[in-house]
Amino acid sequence: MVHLTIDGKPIETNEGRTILEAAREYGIHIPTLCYHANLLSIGSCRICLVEVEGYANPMVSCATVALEGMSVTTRSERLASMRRDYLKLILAYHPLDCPVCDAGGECDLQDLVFEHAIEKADYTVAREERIDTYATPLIRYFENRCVLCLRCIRACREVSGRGVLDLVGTGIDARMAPTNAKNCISCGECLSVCPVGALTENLSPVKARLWQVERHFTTCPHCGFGCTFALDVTAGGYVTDVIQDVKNMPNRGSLCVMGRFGYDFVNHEARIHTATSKGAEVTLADAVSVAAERMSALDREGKTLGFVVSPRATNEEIFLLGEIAGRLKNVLFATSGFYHTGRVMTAYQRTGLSYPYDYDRLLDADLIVVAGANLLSNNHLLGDRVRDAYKLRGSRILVVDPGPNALSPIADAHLKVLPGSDGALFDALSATLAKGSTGEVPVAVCETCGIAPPEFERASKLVGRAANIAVIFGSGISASDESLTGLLKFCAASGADKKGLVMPVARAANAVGAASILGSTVAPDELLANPDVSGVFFYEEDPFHYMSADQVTDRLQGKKFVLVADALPSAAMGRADLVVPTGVFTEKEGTFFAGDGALRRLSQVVGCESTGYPGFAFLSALLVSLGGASYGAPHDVTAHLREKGLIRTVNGREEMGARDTGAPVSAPPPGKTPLPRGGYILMVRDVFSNHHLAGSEVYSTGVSTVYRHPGYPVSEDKLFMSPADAAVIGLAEGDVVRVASKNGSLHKPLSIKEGLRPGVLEYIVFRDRTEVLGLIPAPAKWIEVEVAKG
Amino acid sequence: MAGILFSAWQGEVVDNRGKSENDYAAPARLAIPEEFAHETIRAFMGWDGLVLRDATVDVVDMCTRYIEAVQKESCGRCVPCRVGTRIILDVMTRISEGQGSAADLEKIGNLAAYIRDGSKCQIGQTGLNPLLTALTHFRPAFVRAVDEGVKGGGAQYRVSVTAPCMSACPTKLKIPRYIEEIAEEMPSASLATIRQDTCLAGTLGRVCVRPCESNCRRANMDEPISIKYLKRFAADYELDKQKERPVTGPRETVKKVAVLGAGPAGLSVAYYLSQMGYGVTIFERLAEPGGMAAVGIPDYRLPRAILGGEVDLVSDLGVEIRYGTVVGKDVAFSTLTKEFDAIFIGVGAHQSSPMGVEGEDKGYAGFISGVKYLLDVNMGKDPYPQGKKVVVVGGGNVAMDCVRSSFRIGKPDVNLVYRRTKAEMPADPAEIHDAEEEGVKFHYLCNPTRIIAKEGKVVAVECIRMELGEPDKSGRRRPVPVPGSEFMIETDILIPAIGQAIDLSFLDESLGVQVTKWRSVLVDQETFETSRPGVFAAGDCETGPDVLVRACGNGKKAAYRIDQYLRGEERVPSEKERFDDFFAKVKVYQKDEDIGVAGGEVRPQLRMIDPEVRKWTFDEVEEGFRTDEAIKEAMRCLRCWRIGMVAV
Repeated sequence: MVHLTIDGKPIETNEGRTILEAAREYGIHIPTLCYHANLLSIGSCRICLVEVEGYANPMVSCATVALEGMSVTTRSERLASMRRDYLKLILAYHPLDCPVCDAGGECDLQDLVFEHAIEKADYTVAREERIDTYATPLIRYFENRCVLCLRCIRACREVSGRGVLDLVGTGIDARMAPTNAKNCISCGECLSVCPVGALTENLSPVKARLWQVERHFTTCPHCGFGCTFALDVTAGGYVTDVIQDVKNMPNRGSLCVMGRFGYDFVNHEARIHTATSKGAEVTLADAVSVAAERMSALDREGKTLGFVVSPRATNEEIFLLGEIAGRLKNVLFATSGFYHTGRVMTAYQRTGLSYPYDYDRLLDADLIVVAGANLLSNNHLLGDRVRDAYKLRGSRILVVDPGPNALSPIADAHLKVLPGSDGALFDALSATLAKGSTGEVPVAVCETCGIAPPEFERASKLVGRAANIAVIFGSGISASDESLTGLLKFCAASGADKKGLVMPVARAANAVGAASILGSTVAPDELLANPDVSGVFFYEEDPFHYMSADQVTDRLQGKKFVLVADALPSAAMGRADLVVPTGVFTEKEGTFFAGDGALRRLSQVVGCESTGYPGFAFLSALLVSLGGASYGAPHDVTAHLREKGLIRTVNGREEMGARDTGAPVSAPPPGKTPLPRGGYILMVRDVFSNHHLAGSEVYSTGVSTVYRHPGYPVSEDKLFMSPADAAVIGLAEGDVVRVASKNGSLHKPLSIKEGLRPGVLEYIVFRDRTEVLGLIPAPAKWIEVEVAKG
Repeated sequence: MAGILFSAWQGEVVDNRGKSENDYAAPARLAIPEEFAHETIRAFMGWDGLVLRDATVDVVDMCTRYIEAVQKESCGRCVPCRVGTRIILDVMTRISEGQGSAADLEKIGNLAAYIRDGSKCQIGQTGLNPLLTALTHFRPAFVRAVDEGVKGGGAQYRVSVTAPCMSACPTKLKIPRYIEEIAEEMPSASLATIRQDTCLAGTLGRVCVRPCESNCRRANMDEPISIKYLKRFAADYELDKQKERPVTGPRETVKKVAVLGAGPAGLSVAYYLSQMGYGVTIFERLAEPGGMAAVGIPDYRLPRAILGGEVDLVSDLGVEIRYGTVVGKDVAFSTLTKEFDAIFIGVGAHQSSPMGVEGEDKGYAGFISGVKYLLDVNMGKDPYPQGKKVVVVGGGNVAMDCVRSSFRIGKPDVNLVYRRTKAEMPADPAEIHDAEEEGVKFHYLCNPTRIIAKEGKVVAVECIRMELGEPDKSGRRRPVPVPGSEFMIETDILIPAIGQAIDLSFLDESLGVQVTKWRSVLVDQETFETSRPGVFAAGDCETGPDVLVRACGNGKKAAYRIDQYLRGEERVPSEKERFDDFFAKVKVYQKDEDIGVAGGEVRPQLRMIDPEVRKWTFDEVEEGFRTDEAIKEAMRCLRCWRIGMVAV
């Protein structure tokens, strides 16, 4: 510990802390402009200057380390006039357009000018005004409002790892500019750190001042990382903006394109507000009666009812669905979360691993393995966490993925293994751990995985040298049982499991909740294929997202009753006997278990009826009408989940309860042996597997805007091939390719992707899945295909 | 200093105005050349203040031009300098045009002080010093300018940027820039910056003697920045993260240049000339590139793969390297003069200097010169497998490399004989420390007198005790033999490593390339051109055995002179090079400067393999900085950019 005084007050702080950090610990206010908690010290504004006794010059408190015995002064006549002068220098060309500026009322510069009682600008300087286009159409750049604090440039590099922005020019002509716009992924990190109104959101058509909105804190509904943020909502229930704050955990105020710009579906005109029975509008009460009647009837006939539950539904909704099922004799549960999280949970149970983990532990790792998770299409913020470990503790990074991912630019090794061969790789790496790095390279393993021996050696050295290995993995691993088993053995061999360093990502917001609250689930395609299942209740699920249209149609053909509950139109509704509105995340109250297994809260941002939002109201009423208990409001259900131990508190953190999920009902996915060289593997990647974005309609203007942006790699569904394969087949960018599987074929213009391993094609699904799903016999991450010139 | 009318430098003010020239007081803290590019320096403005020789120089005008340079150099990374210097420049311009007011002087004075006291780097912190000095000591000139404007003194201004570390660097690496690029998480950009000034980033990042670090202002606060290891970090990052090396590719070439020797000097020349579009062919005596860097530095300090990668960088530019080609044997020098438009001689000092000891010319088995020993070891050979005990003579880095390499080829008993004490040893203290850790036995204050051999094999060396006498020219105390103190050290191998010499036998006198009496190539010190036009030389063959970074720096300069020669231009140093020389004389680093802010952050040390493990292997001993360490260390840099302006 270091002892010093700040403004006469005795301070005790950890070694290595800056004066600013020490002051803040004790609530001593030092004004700042460029300082940002998520970034390394920048030191551009010079506002946080302090004086230290015994030193002639003032120094910036954000970059000066607090030392034993220091006597620091944060307020003096000299400092005040320096700070005032620097602020006046900023104002020398900063427009005083506060009344029309988006940041008006929430601007750090405004606050500082007010704090320092600056009444007029003493300095003026002529500076050429430029209208700059920005790296993404979702953000508007007011160049003349920029105070060059440099936060955005740093954030883009440090947090997002994109390096889109840079400082160009010198002297008064120095400017922030998007010099590498093609690298922009519209994560909005720059926007979130801008202290003034230089970067503003260019999405919401409705703008509102702070006092015209209510600000609600809630959880992002998109992926399983479980970011939190606040939403500004007008009295009319219109969401006008997403508000980010470094205090929002676990994302520390950062978001991805979906979280930041993907909120506008809540106001979408296509929203479903009323229930329909066979196409005719009915009241919610009537819908409850219809559902109760049909379900009881089937139950009485001894038929099985299938529940296909969304991994985006709340724990409370999922619990009620479970209770409803409890009123019936034969039921089966399925969730699309099964395809990854369900399989992971099952494997965990088999190997005795415990699920919840803590993202913060990544800082303990000197090597972070990222396998089968690209951390761009979801769990973007986990990628940021890895980058944080790289920046703050020098962690090395090993990527195992056939193509480039969010971390490949900073990876120390990138093994582009053939899909499905990860098991062999991790077995070999476990052997490295057991024997120590002997320098021997298992040539047969390299052959199986399709990697060059020096690449293996590189990875093996990293693994051999690391004391603490963290493992992040995604559906690229869980899609094959061999891969998952191999990886979990590696986690045990490295001790990652005991150290809490195994981190499976979750693709959907409550995939972990769906798996842990429901207990045993099966794969939705299995459920639908089961001939005993006569009635299906899709709760915010749409099988057209992961199964071919023909298959879904075929399997729903014989079903006697199909109930679809959802917030926006889905393909499944075309096959429904009864459609019930649910609600979007802004309307829901309840909880999720995020990928780390910790509890996240959804608060009702937009007012609803006292009975709760329609989805919850429907489930409650249905349960009661089937003779079940009445649980009251969503928060009553949350309380009940706590009582039942389904939510428990461990070390002050609320997380998923331990639950015996019983024997796995579905067989593990078959081990997939990679293809012999020469064949092709088609990998299917969702840009965002989110429910609200699929089908033929994209419900978020924000997201579709960025994806339609010419600079962005994906504007439609796209087929990618490595440059080497394209050369072998004789294809150029844009040439039409025929891709055929046993199930069907498609024709698609080709895009060439640097960094993708030869032999692997990547199909990115953005808008229309029907084509590619037509090739796939059962939901899968990849299939074998033949490729030819179209 | 003669003829200084006024000087305010390093806090010392000497004002000779109104005195007769004979009574001029001389500033003690100022060292300023008389001339810049053969023109008399009339005035100088820089980071510490201003110097005036000629009363006719218009100080107000010069201040304005200086501030203009500051504003142009202002990087935009902090408010006071970026905006403040522009506002001062605007006011100064107004005053110069006769539009100023008395209040303006007050305003710029206050603002200048705030910029000086609060800017982020030395551009802002020192850029206002000439103005502030002038406002104090030349007030009437400003008052007059407010009334009448400025007419200009008919002077021409020349301006350049430097930094203490950069000024000390023989190859003038833009150190503050590449360090800042590491701090700002742009390691690839950092490497690109380094590569503007050398092709040997990873090599220098490991073995440079780092004059920069002894000229680092951070040392005045706590410890100097680890500049060398940060350079290594930037170079290693490209390899660790498997970044593709920037490829510029070969170009259409018109003229051809032959380079003798693929060592640091030759590679540097080839690197720059090929980028300028010349076809370069390197003739290398050995089967591998790198010259003394490859065969003189053991792998545990500089892995061959690192050097090899840097040679690839040069080869990728289209440079052809003909290995195993000895000029003077496989190809005559005179043939080269006909086939190439210019020739660069960059051969190294690969021969050992004799000890002048009885028996050293007898060819005993077990008697191996230091350079030869290292060459063999670095080629993967044990030069004398029968030998177990080793005695190395000398106290320089080659001697250290010999002893430490000996363990690595399995010699269990390794000794070093040095005629002075540890304190006088010229080797890098870090090297001495590592050798001690690995178990080398040091025999100080003794010197070989006779080699004892049996059946043509070395069996022992006779030494004599020495004591330290009066200091010699180098300032080190001269070792004096103690009569009658002879003693024996038994040994199988005796390695003299007391100095190196250059083999210039390929230079026929008829070729017109003159050689000095120290058997080095004679060149013009400004142009590196030899006595034969079109033939240039740099590196150890010109300086005598010297540090790697000097060979790089001189090679770079020689490349520009060769370009001038090939374009039929006069061979002259660029203005920047002239400024580099000028700044070196003025001295950019001031050892007793009080930085005035708190430090207290020590530099991180590299992790090293355990001595008992490392001494038996050629694996690299030190592990480079991790990302976090590099960023943190780079953030300690004070960014001491400084602007100098001369009026001629």
